[in-house]
Parts: sequence; C-alpha cells; structure tokens
Amino acid sequence: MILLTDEAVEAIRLHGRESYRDEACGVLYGRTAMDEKHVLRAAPMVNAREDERHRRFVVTASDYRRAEAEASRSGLTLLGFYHSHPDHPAYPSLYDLEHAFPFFSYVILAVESGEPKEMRSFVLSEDRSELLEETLQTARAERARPGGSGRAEGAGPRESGRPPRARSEGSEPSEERGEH
Amino acid sequence: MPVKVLIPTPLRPYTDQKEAVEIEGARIRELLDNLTERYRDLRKHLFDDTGKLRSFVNVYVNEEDIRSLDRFETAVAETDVVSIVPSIAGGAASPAVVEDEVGFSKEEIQRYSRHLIMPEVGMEGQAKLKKASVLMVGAGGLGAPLGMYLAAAGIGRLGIVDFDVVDHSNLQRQVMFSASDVGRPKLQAAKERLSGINPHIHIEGYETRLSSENALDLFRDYDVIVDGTDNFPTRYLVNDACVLSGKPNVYGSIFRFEGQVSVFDARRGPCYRCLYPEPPPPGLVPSCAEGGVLGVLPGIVGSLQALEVLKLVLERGEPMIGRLLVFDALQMKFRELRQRKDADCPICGERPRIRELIDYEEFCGIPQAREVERKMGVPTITVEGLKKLLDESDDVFVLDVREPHEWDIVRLEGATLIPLGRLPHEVQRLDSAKDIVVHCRSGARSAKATEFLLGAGFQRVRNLEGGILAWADRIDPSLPKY
Repeated sequence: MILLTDEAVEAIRLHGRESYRDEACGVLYGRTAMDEKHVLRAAPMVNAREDERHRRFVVTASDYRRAEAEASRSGLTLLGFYHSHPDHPAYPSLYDLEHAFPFFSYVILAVESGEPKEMRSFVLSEDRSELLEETLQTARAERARPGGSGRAEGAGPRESGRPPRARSEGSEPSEERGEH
Repeated sequence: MPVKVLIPTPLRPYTDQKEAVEIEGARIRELLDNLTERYRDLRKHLFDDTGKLRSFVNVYVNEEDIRSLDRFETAVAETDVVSIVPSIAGGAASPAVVEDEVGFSKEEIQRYSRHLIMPEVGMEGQAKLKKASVLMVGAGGLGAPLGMYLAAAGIGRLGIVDFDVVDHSNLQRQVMFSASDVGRPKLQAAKERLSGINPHIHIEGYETRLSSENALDLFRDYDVIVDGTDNFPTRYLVNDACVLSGKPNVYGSIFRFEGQVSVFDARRGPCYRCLYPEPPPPGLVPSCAEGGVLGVLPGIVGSLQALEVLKLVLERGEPMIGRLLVFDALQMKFRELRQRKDADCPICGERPRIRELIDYEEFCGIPQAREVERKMGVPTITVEGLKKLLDESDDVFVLDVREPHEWDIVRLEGATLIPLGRLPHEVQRLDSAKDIVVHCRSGARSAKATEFLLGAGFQRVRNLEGGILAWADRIDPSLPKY
C-alpha cells in the first residue's frame, strides 16, 4: 500500500495540470513502515525528453543522483516516481514496464483535456513481468499513518491485485486474448 | 583492493538494505560480476537475458558514465566511487493503443484472423504492423489503394500529406473517394474513408505541400515513407529526405499504361538519384493530368507498394531493394531491372555533395521553364475577349489544335479542328485576312501553334489564354472539363 499526504496529492495534480499536453514527472520522498510506503513529499522533476514529451518522460542520471542525495540529507527514502498520462488512462504502458525498477512505486495521474483525474500506483513484480497495482490512499500530513481516511477526489483506495494491464511480450498470449 | 559501490534505493532490498558496498575488481566488468555474485538477485535487474547491461541502468565512475569511458573495460581504483544510477523513464502508450502497446481487442483478433493464422505473420507480425508508422506522400491514384490496404491490414499509425481537393476527374481511378466527396479536401475524405475501413488505427493528416522546410520534420516520426506523388520536384524531395533521415522510400509511379515500383533504401541499396541523377527537362514527361492514365493502373501499382510496405514492416520476403519493377498494362508484362548503388551518387554515394534539402523546383527547371514560356510571348486573348469578338463579328476563325479524341469530348461552337501536328500540312485552309484565335485544352499547344502561324506570315492571330478549360470556367459552365 502507498499512502500519500493531501499536500503530495495536490502537488502531483497541480504539476500534471500545469504541464498538460506534456508529461509531468517527479519524485516521491517518504518513509517505509512494514510493507507500506508513506509519501510525505512529492517534488517535481524536469522532463528531459526533447521529443514526444506528450507521451514520454525521462529523468537525467544527474537529476536522479541529486534526488537520492536529497533523500539522504533529509533522512527520507526515495519511494518512487510519479508521472502524468495526458489524455490516457492511469495505467502503465509497456514502455513504463520496460523501464521499471523493483521496490519503487510508480504513481500515474491521468490528465484529461488539462484536468487531473484518477491516480493509481504500481509496483514491479518480482519476476519483472508486470506492474501490479497497489492500493493508493491519501491522508492529511499529520495523520500520515496506516488507516488514514482522508481521500482526494479521484484517488480513492483501490483493490490491489487487479489484472495487470502491461505485460512482457510473450507472457501467456492466450490469456491476453481473453482479457481484452 | 575493494572499491566502493553506491546502490540506489530500489536495489537496496537486494543488498541487505546497504547504501554502499565494498567490492573487489580492477575493471567495471569484474566489479559487477563480483557484485552480482555476492548479491545474486541483483543480476536480473542490472542485466537482460543476453547479459547486456539494461539500457535504463547507468554505471558511473565518480562523475563519469562508463558509456563515455571504456564501458565494461573501464579501470577502477580504490579511491574511485562507482554508482549504479537508474534512468527513470516512462510514458503513455502510443495514441493508437490505449492500454497495451501490443494488445489486441477481441474485434481486432477477428479482423486480423487471416493474418494471425499464417505463421509468417501471426500475433508477432500483427503486433509489428500495429506498432508501425507509415507516411503516405499524396492521397491520389496511388494513395487510394495504398491507404485502404494499409489501413485494412492494421498499420497502427498512418500519416497522409496532401493539400488537394477532390475533383470530378479524380473519380476515374482514385477509388478512395465517392462522388459526394467532390469539392471536399482529400485529407478529410481520406480520413473518413480509412477510419471507416479500420477504426482501430490512428490516422494523422498533414494538409500541406511537402517542402524542403517541412519534409525532415514530417518524416522523423515515421518508419516507412511511401511516395505517391505525381511530379518530379516532390519525387526528388521525398528521395533526398529519406536518404538524409535514413528511412526506406517505397516508390511507385504511373503514366498512361505503364507503372514502376521499387524500394529505395540508401542504407541497403540504391536511391532514386542512383537511377535518375537528373530530372527530365520540364514538359518532356507529361503528368497524369496532361498525358492521361488508365483507370486501373494506379490500383495495381499502389497495391504493389502497399505489399512492399507490409514486407518491410514484417521483415519478411525479399524487398524490392535494388530492383525496379516495370509494368506494361497493354502487354500485361512485368519486367525487372537490376539497379546498383552509384558510388558517385550526389546524395548517397561515397562523397555526397548534397547534405541538406535543396530547392527542388529550381533543380527540376520549373521556374526556368516558366520564364522561357513568358519570354515566348505570343499575342494572347482572354476568353472574355474572344466572347466579345464573337458577339460583335462574324469574321473570327476559331482554330482548335487539339487531338480528335479531345474534340469528341468537348468543342467550341463554330471552331475548326486541325491538330497541332497536322497544322503545317493544312495551313492553306486558313484565311490570313480573318482574325484567328487558336485554342487547345489549357493554352500550351495553342501557344506553339500561334508561334508557328506568326512565323508563316499570319498577322491577325492570337492565342486563347487558359484554353477551353478557361472558357468552360468563365463563359459557358455547361461545358464539361477534362
């Protein structure tokens, strides 16, 4: 499960709205407790893509290293990254899967015609074959603990273990057929 | 001699949550081998199945990426710090596919089933087609079968460049358009027709004239370029832009009863310039509008081009690289001419002289030809002038220098037909005392006839500007145009 503060959710939604038509991306700082991630801060990063910015983002290696350094400095953990999908649903693409790392949460915000909509979060499965959706909850900063009940519009809790939408090529094609 | 290796957050679960580990190794390869030996689960996140470092994993020695050093052979010392740095990237699926880049809906599986049951295509091939992007230059006679077959076959992203409007004279061969489309932009009609054939694909239209300014930008986003143009400046432009951007150019051309097809890919074979280094002088090779074309011919040539596109995308069979197919409809014969890459080719040869797009109108002598035409300056009369003359006088001789089959289509009342080629032999039929107005279809042949008559001593002779087409446009709209 991933728990975001209202402030973090707002920051992500604002960034997605402001960057609209281009993909917005940023980093999630926070702490881990048991199997849960508590995001305390979402900070925008520069989308370093020069082309196809409406459907791709990339964070430079130096920006990544700065983010790791910032996490150490503030005593937080780098929990993952968020990015927006302008005019696309909040599900990971195959491209997202191919670029995913273990442990990180990948929060995706759908932005339709400039308006932030649903937000979902995904983590890479152990065998790297799929991005699994994880429960995403929001809570006020002071109540950022398991069980926090604050919810932002369109970012309500989701059942985890939904059918994965992005798979590696060649994994059980017969099942893929039935799914769509 | 241990070296410090910094582990990024997402990989720390595999290094007992350590941010930094000390690993032995004199070079990066040895270091990473030892690292993944100690922490075995790390391996699949750093390397792919073939043992290559994953493209989104960066390894730094101090502040330098090993890709800019000696890669795996980069030497490391005890004082160095090696960092593993994830490159964070992602993005939405392409516009054609909403959720899964290679997924197919139930309807799509049914639609493509005749492809899917062939092992040479199958799901893998169909996914290649869906992921492919093809740019068609021109939505005319060749563009019609090309667009319809490529859309039907499931090319995921189809771009069309055209700025023309559907005309009655297009309908004899441009089967993508209906009679009700006449007067509409071709792009609009084509988009409707093609998305009607296959709603699962994405069609992008560019209502613009392909030019040296926009060609490279337009081509950048496409895998394959298909040339469906009808003029030499654009043909050379498409060729050069393909060579410069390293894309295959699926070429087709048609004239009267003959067609040509080839695939120009300068990386693997000759380009159009290797075959035809120089364009023909303007006017020597007439366009379809001037020379005519048999209705079915573009259907055959455009379909052959579509087939070559599918082969390129599927990477199946022998593409027509280095071969020129010449089809003669009257003989019903296909001939194949072998083409070699020209080492002296100005754009794809060993010492290219053309390194950027040029002015193709100029290269093909179009402005020069217009200038010559202007200088030729035979006396002219407008259609309005002729109308007034006819209304006021009975002594006007209207000479039609077109061919008999054109005379059969439409003629001016009271005109006399003497085809241009017959004029020197029948010049005695003309009366030099009368006002003579010479016309043809659009004014080019009649200019030559006027020049001839002036040279033969006739003084009261004028060329009708714009020919019978202008007459039909501005004087008598009941006349058909061709």
